[in-house]
Amino acid sequence: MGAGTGGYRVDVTALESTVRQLRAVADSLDAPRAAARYDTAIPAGSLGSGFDGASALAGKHDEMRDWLGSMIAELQGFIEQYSGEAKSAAEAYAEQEHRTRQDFFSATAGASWGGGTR
Amino acid sequence: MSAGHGGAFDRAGLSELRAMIAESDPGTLDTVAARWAAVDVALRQAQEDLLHHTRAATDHWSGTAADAFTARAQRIHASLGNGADFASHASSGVSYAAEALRAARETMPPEPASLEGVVSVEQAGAVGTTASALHEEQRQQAVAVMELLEERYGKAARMIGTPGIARADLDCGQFSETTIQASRDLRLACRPPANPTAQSVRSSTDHAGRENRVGPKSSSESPSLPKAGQMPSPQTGLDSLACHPRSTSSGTVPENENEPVTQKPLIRFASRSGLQSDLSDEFSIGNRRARLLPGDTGTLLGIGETRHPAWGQAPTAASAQRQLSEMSSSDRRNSVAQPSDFRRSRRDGLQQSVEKVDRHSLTPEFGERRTERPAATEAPNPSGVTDSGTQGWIPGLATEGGRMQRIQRGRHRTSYLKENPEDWLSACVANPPVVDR
Repeated sequence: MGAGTGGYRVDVTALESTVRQLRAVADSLDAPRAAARYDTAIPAGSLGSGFDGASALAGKHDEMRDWLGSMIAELQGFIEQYSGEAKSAAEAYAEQEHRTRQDFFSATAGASWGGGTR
Repeated sequence: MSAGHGGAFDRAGLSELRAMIAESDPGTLDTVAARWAAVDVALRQAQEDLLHHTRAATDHWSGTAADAFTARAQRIHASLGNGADFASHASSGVSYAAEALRAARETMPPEPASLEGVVSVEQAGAVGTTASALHEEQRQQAVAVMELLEERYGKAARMIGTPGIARADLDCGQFSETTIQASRDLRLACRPPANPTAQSVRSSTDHAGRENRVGPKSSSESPSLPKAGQMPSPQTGLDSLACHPRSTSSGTVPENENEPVTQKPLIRFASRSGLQSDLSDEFSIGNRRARLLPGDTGTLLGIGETRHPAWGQAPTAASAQRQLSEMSSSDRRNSVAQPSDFRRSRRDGLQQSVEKVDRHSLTPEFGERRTERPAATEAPNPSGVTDSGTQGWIPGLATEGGRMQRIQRGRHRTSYLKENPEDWLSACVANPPVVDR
């Protein structure tokens, strides 16, 4: 759509489809997030009981699990934010394009009544 | 880790030792490890998708805003990769623990059937029978098994925990303050010999950002510091992305001024926050350029024209003027040819009126008649009513209203002025200028 040799060049349609796909990527993180948070819990006693090694490992694992779950959720939020910003960029470009076109049309329409030159 | 607890095993009896892992379940651990592996795969897939889609976008997108987009995508990409690494480490750690547990369960000596109840070390030593000697041997074996298991658990915890040490490297500004604080606490709490290669690789990715956060009080003392290292810096780039193209960069200028020069990590992002002004320039430049480009002119004009209701709407003054000129020229042709043709061609209302106007302007005889006529009617009938009635008869004043008046009143008219709607030409034929072009 937009064409500029030096400043910027953007295909707003492609950008918009990218926004959708980024959202899909963010959504695809739902499964690993839930898995990290809920499915990877080690039941008490599975590692053994009554000795410190088991409880230490279980604690370490739970800590890791919590952290990784929150990290994935955070990454998901970042990707959503990222796609949202890409979306507003695309909208800004589209609006710019639209406005330029409007300016053009109003300028040319007043100047010449070209008729069907196509 | 197991060294501190070895005595605990020594003091425990065989049945106690056996009970420690009696309820354990390596299969559950395998399941957990498989789920971690699935998380790993999912994160890698998301990473790949992100890269793919970002590349697809930037194939059609260039400029400073696109650069900011790409920079942020790279950070998220790296974070996803790190997350996948952690999930993979967790998976391998848990599966290592599962293997260790399975081995321990297999090697754990059986309870001697001859002895029942809990036999303590003192009892075993005091009795000294062959049965108790056998039992003591088995108990020692069980202690060894448990010590090995605990040592392996420690290894597994380090396998899981190694990413935890690298959290400070991972968080390269992408995680919340609480997470950073937690990882810092963890790193201070347990400082084991981490995997040096992984550590160096990660720290090389974001060295400045990590040094930035080494001091535990740095976050509270200078609140802008973690902010700068965190997402906001790419955010400013992307906020500028999201900003209105024509908005001025006044909003970002104070940010630039506020940036402390002493903070090293900020330098890297200072240029990026200056991107907003670049971007607004870029947009305006793009706007101007778009206006000047002939190619754009062509496309935009073409688009505008297809949308413009040139056909569907009422003709404007200009098009009517063109039609008029076209018609009058054809009228001229007809009038030059034969009078019968002339009469036939004037069936359409518009054309008729046009002809009349045209003829009025071209041929002075109508004008003469017109000027004569009022003079003739004036004498017998000076009233304005009659005068207006006679006006309809005059061809030079044959407006639409006048024609309708004549039809309604059914006045006498000359043969060439009589109209039969059945003889009217259809519109498409009657408007040749539009169609013929």
